[in-house]
Amino acid sequence: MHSATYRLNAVATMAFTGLLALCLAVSVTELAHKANPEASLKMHGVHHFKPLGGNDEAVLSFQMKGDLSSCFSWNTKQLFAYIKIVYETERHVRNEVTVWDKVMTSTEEARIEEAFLSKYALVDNGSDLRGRDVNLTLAWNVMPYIGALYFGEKVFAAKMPSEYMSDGRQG
Amino acid sequence: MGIFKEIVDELRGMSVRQLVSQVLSLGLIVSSAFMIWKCLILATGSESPVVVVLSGSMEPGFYRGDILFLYNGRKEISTGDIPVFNLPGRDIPIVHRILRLHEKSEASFDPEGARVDILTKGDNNYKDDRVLYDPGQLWIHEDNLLGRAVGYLPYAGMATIIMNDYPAIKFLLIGFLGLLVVTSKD
Repeated sequence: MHSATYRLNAVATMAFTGLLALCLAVSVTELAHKANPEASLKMHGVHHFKPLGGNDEAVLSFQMKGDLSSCFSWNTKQLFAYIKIVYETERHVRNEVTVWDKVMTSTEEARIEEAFLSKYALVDNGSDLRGRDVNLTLAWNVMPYIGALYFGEKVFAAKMPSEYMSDGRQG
Repeated sequence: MGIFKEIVDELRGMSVRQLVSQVLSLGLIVSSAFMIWKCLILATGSESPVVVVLSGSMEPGFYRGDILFLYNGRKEISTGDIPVFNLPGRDIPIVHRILRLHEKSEASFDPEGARVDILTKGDNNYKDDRVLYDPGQLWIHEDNLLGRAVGYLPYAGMATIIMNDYPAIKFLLIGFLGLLVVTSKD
């Protein structure tokens, strides 16, 4: 009854159960966390807008003033913040193209007030971007130390130029 | 070595009836594990509801050896989601984030082809995944996806990685646990 295996088994089971309960408790605390992220984002400029191999390509820049730091709770490892351009064309009912992203590992990094260039070009799967109304979506993925991953987003409006251009000049 | 001696002694002292009952209880453990796995598959809609991260391409979010819980439900897939996908002809599933997504309209939708074009990228990678896809392949599609990551448990998959790297440890562990169950008394 009181053999070494029994003691080992009991200790291991207890430790495992305790750890599991603790993990569960920590991930549940996230439900009580209220975040009120603030952000304003607008298209700052279009620096290049040309078709390349049949697909419209655009290099954009953005003006952003945002504070996502309230998304951090004690169980938040990082935010993955990204800007996606969401639009609809005749050929595609839903286009979502990421043009910028940033891994934010601290609350300091989650405060942004600057203008910056897109990290990835806006590339359409076709050539339907001219004059297109698009949604400029700032989204963030809250990634925990343990538990559920979840998303948040704020949507802003923008419009693509009606003519191709390069270096800010039409032509 | 005391533990092994104990186990062997115990096995020797068993009647046939006892032995059969112990083997059955081992079978019960194996089959309930199997049932739980199948129920998870039903509940999540993913054929592989729990996966171990095998590469560092999503660091610092996910490290090698962390566990992800997948869901393959009705909510439509969206840019920024982290799907696990299989590339045709390759065994190892990949966990990366969706960078671009284009869903074809009714008019341009070819019934033979795929409805949604997806391009992925690892958070920690410099370039998108076209270098990983087959030469000339530009997109992956919904049928490549096993599910999206919805939950995260760090380190818990390290044992799987160690056992895959050193199969001998796997057999030793399974054998030892099996013996332990067979010899344990209720």
